[in-house]
Amino acid sequence: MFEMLQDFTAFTKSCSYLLAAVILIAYIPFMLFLSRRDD
Amino acid sequence: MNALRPGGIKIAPFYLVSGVILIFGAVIVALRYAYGLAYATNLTQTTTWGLWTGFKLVFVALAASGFTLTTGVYIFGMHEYHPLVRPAVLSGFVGYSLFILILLFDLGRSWRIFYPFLVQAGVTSALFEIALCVLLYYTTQFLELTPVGFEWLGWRRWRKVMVGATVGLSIFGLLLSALHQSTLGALYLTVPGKLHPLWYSPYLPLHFFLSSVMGGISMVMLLGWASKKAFGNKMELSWQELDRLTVGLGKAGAISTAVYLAVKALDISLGGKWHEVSSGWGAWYLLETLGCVLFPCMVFAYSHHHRKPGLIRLAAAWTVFGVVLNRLNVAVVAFNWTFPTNERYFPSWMEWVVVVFLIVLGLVIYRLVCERFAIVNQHPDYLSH
Repeated sequence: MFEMLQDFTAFTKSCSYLLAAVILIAYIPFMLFLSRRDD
Repeated sequence: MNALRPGGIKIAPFYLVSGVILIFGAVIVALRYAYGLAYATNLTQTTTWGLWTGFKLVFVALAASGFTLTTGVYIFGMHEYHPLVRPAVLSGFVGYSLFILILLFDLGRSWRIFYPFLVQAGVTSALFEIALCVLLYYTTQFLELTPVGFEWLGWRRWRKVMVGATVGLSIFGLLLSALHQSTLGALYLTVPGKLHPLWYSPYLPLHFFLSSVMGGISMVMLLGWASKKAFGNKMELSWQELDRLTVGLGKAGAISTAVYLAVKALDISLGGKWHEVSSGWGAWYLLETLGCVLFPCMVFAYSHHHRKPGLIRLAAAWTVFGVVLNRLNVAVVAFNWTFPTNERYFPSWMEWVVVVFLIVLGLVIYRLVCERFAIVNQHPDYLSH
């Protein structure tokens, strides 16, 4: 699938950046849900 | 003060059962020293680290209750959790004591345990850093507990001195814990070919530190519940107050498990290991990460939102199980995973007995100290302090 190490790292890094973005966005509703009823 | 003087060991069913286990365990330990590791364990020249090494990691990870709570209370100013500090620090101290004991059993020549400091200091070694940090942190925890002893002895001046040093000791303890919790993970960076790719990661130190935090927070919740169950009205917190604190800790549990899970997911992505997840090992890995981290995370979040302390304690117990499973996976199950089945290491019954012996020993010491010292309650002479 990957001919060079650079292809592999470029692919995994792009996937990871997307995943990190999804995680960061998901943390907003998660924290809102957790904190909604705090004093 | 007289109320806290030693009153002799009560022969409660707990102590009776524990006594039988401890005597049996002590015999096995004696056999291990009499006939060596080859007699008591299934360790070989190719698998030199086994169940006892796995439980060293477990004891240290769960002993993180001390530094997580002292950091929250003394550094971040969450003073409402102060009544849980002493049980948490004591459990941390007991956890490190068990770590040292199992290390002594596991070392081929345990009488040379002081060698890293006095004879042959390999200052570039991860093990040297762990030895130094554990030694210093063990001393720090002992110093954090000295006010309890000074209250018992009635030494007010010394107690005042040590209480004054609490914040400094907490900062020092946090620093040391961050160092050696992560370095225990760094130990396994040296075996990339032996540890299954799903568990091996260049970020293992970070994984170990983050999972110790979530394990430590969960242990605090369980300790509060267990202490209240065991000591009832002797504990200064009422059930209502304890439930309120547990709900608060549930939020910390949800956040710590969520952060750990995110880091694990990013690690799989960065390593390009998604194809491994669909294998048989992947199912076991998913059981550990989704079953024992994501599931408790969701339960923590739900039960914090709906103020359900019972569910939070259930999630805490599940998280502790997850941390135990993770450490045993790294140290035993996924270690030497390429070996044929007949050459793989499986712990002997004596290794299991010694582990049970140590866990029971820890419970007995914890309970005895709590019964005789002001751990779960305030000392009557120092109520205003």
